[in-house]
Amino acid sequence: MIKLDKNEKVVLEVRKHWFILLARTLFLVFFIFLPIILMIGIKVAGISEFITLNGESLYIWITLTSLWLLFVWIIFFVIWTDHYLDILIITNKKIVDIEQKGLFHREISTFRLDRMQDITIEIHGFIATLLDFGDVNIQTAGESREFIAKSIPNPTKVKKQIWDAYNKVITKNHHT
Amino acid sequence: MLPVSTINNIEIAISPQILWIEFGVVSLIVAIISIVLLYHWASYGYKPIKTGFMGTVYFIGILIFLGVIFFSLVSYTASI
Repeated sequence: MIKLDKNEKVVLEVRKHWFILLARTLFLVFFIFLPIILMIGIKVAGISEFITLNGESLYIWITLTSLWLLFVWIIFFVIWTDHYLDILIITNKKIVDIEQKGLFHREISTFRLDRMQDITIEIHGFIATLLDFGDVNIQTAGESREFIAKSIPNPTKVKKQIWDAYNKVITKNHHT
Repeated sequence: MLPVSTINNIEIAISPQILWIEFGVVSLIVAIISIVLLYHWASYGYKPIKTGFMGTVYFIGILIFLGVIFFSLVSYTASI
């Protein structure tokens, strides 16, 4: 949770495009069907004919499948959490870039809007062009640092909104 | 390698005690992961409404899966 100053308002908050979450979780679809594929494989290979369990095998199968699906469920939520906590927040005073790298690594970069020098956007590839997402690179004055918010939806619109917020800050600073 | 026809039927005895211990270990791991996730949602979640909704969905799923495992283990133990 970020702390805002008095009179500070959030202008924009952006997360990575939904396609990134989809691409990161797509392998889980295969994982969901893996127990069924394994069961069919065991039946086709005829292995089940040679193995007898001392109890009802259906219950063991349900237990193992549920256990497997439980971990698939958890993996999905770990990936979703990682995706959800990556956020670029633009206020009327500053830009905050929060990058969650796994559950135990978190980077927060903050800089004042009036220190911003340039914004460039990069859209790579067919899918990114089609779905309109890309990287927003923000250059700041002073330490010559560059902030890259990756796979942001509508990067052109985001760039415009950041510039608008920047212009407001600059105009306000000139008047005071 | 033996021809398939000569392989005898293999009887596997899965002890319910071992399965129940595994269930306990899995429940413990799930609880630890859930606490970690909950901490992240509560501490770093920018919009509590969304993390609250996803948290509810997460815990409903966890309860369903653990419930199914529990009842299938009860049924397996009874079937021996």
